Amino acid sequence: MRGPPTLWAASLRHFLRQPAQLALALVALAAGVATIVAVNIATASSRRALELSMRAVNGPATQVITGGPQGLDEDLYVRLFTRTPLSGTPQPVYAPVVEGYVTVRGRVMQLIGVDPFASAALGGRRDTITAGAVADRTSSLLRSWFLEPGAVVMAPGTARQLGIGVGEPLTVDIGGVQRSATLIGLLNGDPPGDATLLLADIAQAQEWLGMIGRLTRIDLRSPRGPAGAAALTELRRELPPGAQLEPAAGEVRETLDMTSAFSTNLTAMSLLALLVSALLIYGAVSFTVIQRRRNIAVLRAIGATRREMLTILLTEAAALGAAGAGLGVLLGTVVGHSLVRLVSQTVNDLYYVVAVQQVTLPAGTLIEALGTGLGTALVASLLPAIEVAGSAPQLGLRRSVLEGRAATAARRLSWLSLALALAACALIAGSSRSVFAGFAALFLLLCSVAAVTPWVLRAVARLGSKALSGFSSVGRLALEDVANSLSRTGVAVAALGMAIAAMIGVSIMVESFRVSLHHWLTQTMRADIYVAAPGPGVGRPERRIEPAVLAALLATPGVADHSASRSVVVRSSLGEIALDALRLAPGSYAGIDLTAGDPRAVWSDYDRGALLLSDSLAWRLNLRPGGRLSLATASGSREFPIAGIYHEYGGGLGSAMISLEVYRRLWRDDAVTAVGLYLGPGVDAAREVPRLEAAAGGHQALLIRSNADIRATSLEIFDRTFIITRVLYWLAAGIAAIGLVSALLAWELDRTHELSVLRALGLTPRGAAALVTAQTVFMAGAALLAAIPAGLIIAVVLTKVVDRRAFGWHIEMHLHGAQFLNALALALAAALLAGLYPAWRAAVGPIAAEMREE
Amino acid sequence: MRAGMLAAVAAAAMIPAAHASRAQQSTYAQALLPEPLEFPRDQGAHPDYRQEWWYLTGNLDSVSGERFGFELTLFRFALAPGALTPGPPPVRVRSRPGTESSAWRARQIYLGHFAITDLAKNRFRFTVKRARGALGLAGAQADPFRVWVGNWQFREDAASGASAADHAEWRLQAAGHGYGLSLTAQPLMPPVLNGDRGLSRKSGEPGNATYYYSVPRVSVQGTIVRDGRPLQVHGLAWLDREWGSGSLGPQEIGWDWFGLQLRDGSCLMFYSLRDRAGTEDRYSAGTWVDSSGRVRPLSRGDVSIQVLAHWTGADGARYPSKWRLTMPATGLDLTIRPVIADQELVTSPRYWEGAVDVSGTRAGRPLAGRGYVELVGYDGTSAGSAGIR
Repeated sequence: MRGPPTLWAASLRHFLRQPAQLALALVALAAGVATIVAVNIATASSRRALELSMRAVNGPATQVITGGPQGLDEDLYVRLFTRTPLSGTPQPVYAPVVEGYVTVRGRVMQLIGVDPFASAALGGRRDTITAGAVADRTSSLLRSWFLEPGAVVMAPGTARQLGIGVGEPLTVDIGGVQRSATLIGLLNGDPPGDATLLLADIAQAQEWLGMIGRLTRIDLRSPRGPAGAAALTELRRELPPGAQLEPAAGEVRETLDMTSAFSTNLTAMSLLALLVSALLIYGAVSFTVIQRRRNIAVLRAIGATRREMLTILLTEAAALGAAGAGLGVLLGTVVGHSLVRLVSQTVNDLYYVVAVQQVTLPAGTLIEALGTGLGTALVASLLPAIEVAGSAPQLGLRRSVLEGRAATAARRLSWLSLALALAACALIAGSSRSVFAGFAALFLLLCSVAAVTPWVLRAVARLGSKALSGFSSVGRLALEDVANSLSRTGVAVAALGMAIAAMIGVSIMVESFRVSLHHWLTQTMRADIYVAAPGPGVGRPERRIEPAVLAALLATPGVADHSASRSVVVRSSLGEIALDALRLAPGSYAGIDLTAGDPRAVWSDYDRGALLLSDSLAWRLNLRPGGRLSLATASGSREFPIAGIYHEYGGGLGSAMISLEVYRRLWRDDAVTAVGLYLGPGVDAAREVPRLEAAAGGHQALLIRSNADIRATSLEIFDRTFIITRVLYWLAAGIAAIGLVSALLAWELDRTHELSVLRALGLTPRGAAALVTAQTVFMAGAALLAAIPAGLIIAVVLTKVVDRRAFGWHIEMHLHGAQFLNALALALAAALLAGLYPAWRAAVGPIAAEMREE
Repeated sequence: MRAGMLAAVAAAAMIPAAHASRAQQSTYAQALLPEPLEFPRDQGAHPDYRQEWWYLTGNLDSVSGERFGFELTLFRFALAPGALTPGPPPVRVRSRPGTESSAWRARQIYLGHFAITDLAKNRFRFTVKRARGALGLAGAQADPFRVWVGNWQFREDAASGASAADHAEWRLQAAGHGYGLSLTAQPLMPPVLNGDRGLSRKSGEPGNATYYYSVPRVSVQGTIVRDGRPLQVHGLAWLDREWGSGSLGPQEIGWDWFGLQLRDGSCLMFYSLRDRAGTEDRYSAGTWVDSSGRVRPLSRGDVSIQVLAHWTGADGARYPSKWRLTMPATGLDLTIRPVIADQELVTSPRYWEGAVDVSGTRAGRPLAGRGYVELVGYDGTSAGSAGIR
């Protein structure tokens, strides 16, 4: 290290004398870095869990043969397995799979029906059943696997958690139907991804899931090299219509796409956290430099060179940055663990069964977090350090010079803010579909808010001071003081302004979304009672109302009419899409809010087989009425005209609607996933529900819910989805508040001398405390002032640009007082907290001692 | 017997262990008394018995002079006594939706072993294939005769039209690990009943026996595809058929089985059962078929076998690898050598099954031949303890 030891000692002494300040700078740094780490951990862990559970199911398969919603005919597997060998060249190995979701003691699990011999040949971990049986000579396992009715196997950890021992009976709930099963054995070990698996023989799975004669898919491992490629080409030729050969990874990718809508949301939050954190770190670190201008000037005056000063200040910043970032990574890891639960809950609600067992810390996150912490700390200290270390020794002693410069900077920044806002507008206007551009615009707007806040603070303080000049000299003094201390408080106030703006914007967006969803639910849900088979995911075979049960429901007295639907996932020429095959009751038509298409022709086209697309799907696939979409039906690919677009808030990717009659004909699938029941006049839904339950009783446990009940549940799920959003913006706001506290505290401590002078001149202790409190509240008020219009603009960008581009949703803006009250509460809380200690000190501090220091 | 015990060993991996099965054993059919065998009926499956196998081994020469050995074995195991296709589990009510029975339900499982010995390349390759006896994935039928596991099969050639075992024309097909085998086969002699009119006892306990017949000389010709290139081959194979529900005696740990086809048209089958003390068990037996087709059952004292060398497998199992076999009654004095040392099938349990060359004399006149030898119970997990008792 360079520089005379005296200088290093001075540096160390400064921090030792100001432990509170050091601690606060560290807290700001750590909190900022922690937010980045926590958000990344939560997202990455959920993705990883999803990947692992997909892999646990797919095993070592290289390709997979899939069919339509009805799966594949099992004869295809028999044909492939018994096909005469060609030539002794390597051939693909095939393994049939029947798959569905079931519930065991309240836990949703993936029921995987396999043929153990085929799976062993494929080389998957599932061969542990057979290999284990052979190796351990526990041959009774294989015998039970084949012969014991309801034989299932699960991971040892899962069995432990569910409290089921080997040999013990359990009940498996399959789409509301209870089946008796026995746990005959355990998988080897507890690799991640296995926790939600329930393995059974393929025969058992077919019977339970009502898939007699069908397979969900055929996994295959093809040989490498040209022989493998030739075998696949031949296989492709042999596949029946409706069956498709895809890379095994395809399924993982498809499912990840489903979650991408969700992770867009998280990315936005993590970006916000990054931005707010960087600003806070800047504020905290630059303050430690600026605050010491007097010491530095003295050191310069006694001969320390500019270079030496710079070295010391930057080394300090690096040490601070490294320590803060290190702490942040630790803290973030802890917070990340709790966020993971929230994130995976959301993923499960909407998309898939995932058990996050391992928390993944992506390598990129460490670099990003440390880079942000360290980099921002260095930049934060570099600018003021150059300024302070470079100024002539005697000038450095004068704060007025520094504040003069800060005032100039604030003016310049306000112009920059305008430029940023204009750039954001240009970016939105110049792009039509890019979500990234939407985010970039949002980022620019946030920076713009941050840049204008110091100027607003100064301008408002000046105005206030002029206005107060005739009434209260103390008040005037207080505001003048604020206006003249931009170098200390400007950055922290800017950070607070930005956090509040983001909070307002995001909460308006969420609330608007919620209100729109509520309206939509009210409009769409026309039937009095809805009936569905329970279970996660959409379009799964187990979510099927059994035909006999359906007939019993429709025959129940009081039921006047019904609509029926079958939800499936089908392949289109533009990727997989959710398809709702609907039989609409006369009363249901009004519930479909058409946003495009000829309203007079739409329904007759629909009855003839045309598709209606939800607005999110139409947006995502860039399709319009009059266009065509090709779907894979049971008899091969087929083109469908698009008759219209309807309004919908679904899982984010949208769906298409087709006539149930047309679907049944083309897909040869007569299952029904849900029905809407219209009751006769004067029939009370609340009384009808128990009657319907009795009709289905003993056969299938269905979700039978009144219209109002479903609306409430939908909104509950919605709220749960946005819990993480709320947690994150409170976190960001919290960091901003801590930043303000640390900046104000340091500022107030720094000017105890001035306060002592005021006290000596006759200011009462109560007056001194009021002065300090008024100043801090005023600053928070200024931040709020800058944040409210900015928050509104952000809300508009979020709902009209980002959400529209990411999901294709049309959301009406809805403003609520609560959103602003939250922001006000946050600003006030930050201000009061920040002012508390300095105010107390100002009131009770020993005047003489403070003055004597001079 | 040969494969019989191997089946017993392999079955240990699949079928309930000793005590559990004892109670059930009574419900499987038992091989207790000699019964007249009938064809084509007895070519097919005997699902009332616990295990059964179709065992083909043979030596082949290609047109270009390359030498091969092959083994294609298809095993059937019952998981439980009873019908081939079980009804739905008893608690179900048929009329309720979702209660139909899946076609995958099975009580019989099939196992195939396919091995090729390639002298020119000094290679031994084996593949295992398993499937349940359902949906046509695997199965066995008598008429038209066919037994198969996936795309491996041993069946009557549809073109031949003949179904009696002594005139039949068969087809064999299997592939794996770079080799494909496709042969047509014609039995050169009628089936030979081993033991007491086809009942072959393995120990003193009644039921520890099988019905066992062989066709010691089967002419085969067809194609071996090696690494994608076809080679025309012809040669002589040996068919063994055996079914039963028992196993080895408690003291028996394994056996050495010899199936020798001698140049003068005679054939010798002999299995030497070994007990825990390492000595030859008194139930060791065999069959001698002279060049005119006359059959003579052999017992322990009729044949003497002396081990001349050993070979140790990669995992430490030490197998005999060269023998001197003498049969005083016929004046045979033969030396038997594996064509390559390593013909070990690393399965569960592992065993050695390989092509051998035979040289020596009969009553002083030189006599050569070829054959197959099977060595079981050398991998430490004794066949007896792993057996299906």
